[in-house]
Amino acid sequence: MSALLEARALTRSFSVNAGIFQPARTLHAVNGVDLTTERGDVLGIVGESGCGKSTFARMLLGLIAPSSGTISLDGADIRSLGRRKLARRVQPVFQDPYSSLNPRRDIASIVALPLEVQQLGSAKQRRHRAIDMLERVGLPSRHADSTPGQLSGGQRQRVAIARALVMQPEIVICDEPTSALDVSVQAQILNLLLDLRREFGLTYVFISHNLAVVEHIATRVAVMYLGRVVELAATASLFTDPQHPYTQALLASVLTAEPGLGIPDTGLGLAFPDPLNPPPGCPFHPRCPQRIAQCTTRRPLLGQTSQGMVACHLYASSSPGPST
Amino acid sequence: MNDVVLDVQGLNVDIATARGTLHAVRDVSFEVRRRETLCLVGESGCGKSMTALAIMSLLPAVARRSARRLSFLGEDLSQAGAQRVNDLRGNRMAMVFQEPMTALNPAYTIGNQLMEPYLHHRRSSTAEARERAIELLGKVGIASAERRLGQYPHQLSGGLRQRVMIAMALMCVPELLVADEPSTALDVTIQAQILRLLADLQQELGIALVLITHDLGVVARIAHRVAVMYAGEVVEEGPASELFATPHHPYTRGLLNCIPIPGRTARGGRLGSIPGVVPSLVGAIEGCGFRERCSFAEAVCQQTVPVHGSAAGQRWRCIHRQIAA
Repeated sequence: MSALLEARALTRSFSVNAGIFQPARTLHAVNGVDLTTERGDVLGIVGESGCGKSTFARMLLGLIAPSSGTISLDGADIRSLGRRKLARRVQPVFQDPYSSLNPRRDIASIVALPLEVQQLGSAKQRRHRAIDMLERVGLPSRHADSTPGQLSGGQRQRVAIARALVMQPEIVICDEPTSALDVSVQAQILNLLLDLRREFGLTYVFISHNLAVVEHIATRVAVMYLGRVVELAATASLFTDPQHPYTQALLASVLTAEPGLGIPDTGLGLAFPDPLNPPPGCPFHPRCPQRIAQCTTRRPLLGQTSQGMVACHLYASSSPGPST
Repeated sequence: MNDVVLDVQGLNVDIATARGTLHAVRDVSFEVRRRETLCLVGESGCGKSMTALAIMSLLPAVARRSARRLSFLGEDLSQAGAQRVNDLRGNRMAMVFQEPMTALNPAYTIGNQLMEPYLHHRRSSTAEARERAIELLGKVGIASAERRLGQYPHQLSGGLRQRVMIAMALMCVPELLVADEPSTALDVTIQAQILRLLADLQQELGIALVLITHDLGVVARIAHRVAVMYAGEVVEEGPASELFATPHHPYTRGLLNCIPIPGRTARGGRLGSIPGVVPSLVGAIEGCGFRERCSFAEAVCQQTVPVHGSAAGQRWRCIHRQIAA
């Protein structure tokens, strides 16, 4: 069986203005990412700000084109599919429900908009279906004529989810869907996403910087660092036995609500990475507490281990990369 | 005990709005001692930032503060004039804000902003202030401090900026530090570094720390005592270990059930959630502010709510002395 969604050698670079009279510089936001998602998976993508996770999401949605590499859906290149067809099968839920909903439209028409774009059904049928969907996500139909400004943050995120699901897509790309919400509301939204996945047989790509949330919802997790995937594994194994030193540091930094454990020492130091000027060799080596000689010169490639895939010289089976 | 640095009793903050008076902070009481960390925790709009601003006498002009007692090292702050407050603030009591990008002035160098409180409060020479600034930058883990002094905020990463904010607050060695979401805008690895630094410096310098956060993970790891706020009130307060082990207030318990905790919540299982929304704080408020979202609510919750206490030092505001597990 081929993967439902597959990214191959996906790269996206941006030209960044370095100042007047300075030549523009190239920022590799996503740099050679290979990832696949099977039907029914929840692929979690974690990493810190600037690691390229949102750029990756936007490419999966067809909102920006890759600089190189391909994305295929059921084996077909999404470029040959076209935006409209892609949108029927892949839909987004974004972070900020305050800016992702049109403040001047009523809730029912916001949810019905994808159907309108796809020219499905009559206006009456579309509205009926939108209200139906709103009820499925836990928003009573009395809200149908409200505008986003009249709703709370959690309610708005429900609207965004209803809009994403109204055409019954196969894949939902969730980019930080709960980050702007209070914890009690975050729990409601996560429960809803899990219920809807079961009900509609959805596949999620779930992007978040909140590792506790990803551990809760994902079936597989990819860890990104400076535009590359550094580790990929099943959720249980990644969280119980992280391989890459960056994943280890990331997990050690998570402050779980367990009193008495104190604040962990990440051992990462202050060498904050500059995406415009990535270090040679392994991009993580300036912060890595376990670096060895070849880390500064050779970039490790993603290689198979007993746990999953990891790009690190500490694991022998990780194949040596090109000299940089 | 004379170890008490900050003693707040019956603090209220009212804000005049077009729709009536908004009761942002209602009858809030707590104490913080030397070397102690008190976390104020709650969701957006619960009044935690307003409480911090009230302590620091930094409330917006439309807000009115009143308190039965608001004393800092035995001195009544509600009676202190503007001049006295200016002498204390930035000197013996200091604050760290959430957003280091907006809290630092983009038009002045790091050195300039670090030295300002020291020059003002200690009436020191520029050379002394500069030396102190370099010492403090070293303390907060910033290398090549001398070069950093000449840099502007935009030249530093978010984590470094927050370190500068902490260094600035500590320039005059305050007895009280109020930190409002100091690590919220930062990545997880940087967050752990900043909180560790804050906790280490607090112990070293014997500071009383009031830390405001919405993140229960942060609270669990750093707090000695916790005050849980809801709708402007402290609904439960007590030692961190007791509060996490046996939450007495239905809201505290609900909040703890909402977050995935390794080993306790099943992966992919249902998280607890709290139905409903926060009530409006405009106009007269009677009874328990949480009753409409509470599964233990009864008719009497509309009336005055008693405060219970336990032998372990917990206090909670609820009609129930005990709620069913």
